[in-house]
Amino acid sequence: MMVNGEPKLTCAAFLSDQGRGPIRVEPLRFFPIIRDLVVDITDFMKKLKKVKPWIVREQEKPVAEGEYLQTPDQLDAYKQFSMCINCLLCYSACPIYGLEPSFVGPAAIALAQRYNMDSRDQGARERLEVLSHKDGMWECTFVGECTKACPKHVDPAGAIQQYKLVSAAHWFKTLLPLGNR
Amino acid sequence: MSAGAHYTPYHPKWYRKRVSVWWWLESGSYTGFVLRELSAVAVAFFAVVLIAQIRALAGGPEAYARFTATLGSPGVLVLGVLAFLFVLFHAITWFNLAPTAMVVRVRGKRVPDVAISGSNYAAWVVLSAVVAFLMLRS
Repeated sequence: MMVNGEPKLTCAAFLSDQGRGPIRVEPLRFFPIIRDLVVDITDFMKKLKKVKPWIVREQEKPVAEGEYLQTPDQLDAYKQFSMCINCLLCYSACPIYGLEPSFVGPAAIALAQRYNMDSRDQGARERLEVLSHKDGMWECTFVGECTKACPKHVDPAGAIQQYKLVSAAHWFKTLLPLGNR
Repeated sequence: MSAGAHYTPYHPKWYRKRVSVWWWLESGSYTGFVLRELSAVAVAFFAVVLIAQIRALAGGPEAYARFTATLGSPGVLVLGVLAFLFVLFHAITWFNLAPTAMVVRVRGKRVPDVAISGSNYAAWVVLSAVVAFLMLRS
C-alpha cells in the first residue's frame, strides 16, 4: 500500500515509525483499483509469466542421474534476485510503469535475471527475446526508485542495468561475422 | 488458483489514477532523475561547441578569433557555466550509479561498490589532469 505517498510493505510497517499522524493510507499506486485498498494485479501476473520465471532446460536429465548440483558461488550469483516476494512495491515506485503501463516492470525483469544467472538454467536466450522488445528492459531509464522501495534488497534497478549490458553485448556479437545469431 | 480461472484483462469501470504531468516534482529523487536526463542536453551543447571550434580553426586565424570572441560574450559565458554545472551533475550522478550497472566479480566475490565508482572517479581525475597539462603547457 501507499503510506504517506510512499510504497510500503504495510505488514512489516509499524505505526510508531510513522511519527505523529495523520497517516494517509492509499491503494498501491499505478494499479487499477477494485475496491478500497484492493488493486488488480492481473497485469503483473501476465508479465511475470511471459519472462518464464522457472528453470528452463533444453533437455531434462533423467531423475536417476540425480540433482543439478550448484556451488555456493553459483548460488551467490543469483541469490539476491531470488529474494523477491512479488509485493509490487517496485512497480508503484516506478514512474515509467505509471506513464507506460505496457512496461514489463522491475520485479519481472529482476526475476528473469534471477533465472538467467542460475547455473542450472538454459532459458536465457528465450527470455532475452521477450525482454529485448519495446516494452522490455529498454523502457527502463534507471530512475532507481524500485531498488529503494524494495523491502527485500533485491535491487531490481541493478538487475535491469546488468541485463541491458548482456543484451547490448549479445547484439554486438550478432554483428561479428562468426557471431551467434 | 484453479486451472480454469478467468481474469478480465481490462475493466473500464475500475479506477486508475492518472499520472500528473508534474510527477517529477513529487519527490526529490524524481526531480534529480529528470535533471540527470536533462543534463545530456548540456553534454550535447559542449559537443556542438567543440565541432564549431574545429570548424572555426579550419577557417583560419580570423575566423577563430571571431569564434573565441563569441564564446567570451556574457550570454554565451553564462550558458557555458550553466552547461558546465549540468555536465558536472551528469558525471557525478552517473559515476555513483556505475556500481549498480557494473558487477565485477573477482574469484567469485563481488568487487565492492566503492572500488567501482572510485575507479571511475580516478579515471576522471587522471584524464582531466592530462587535458589540463596539454592545455597549460603552451
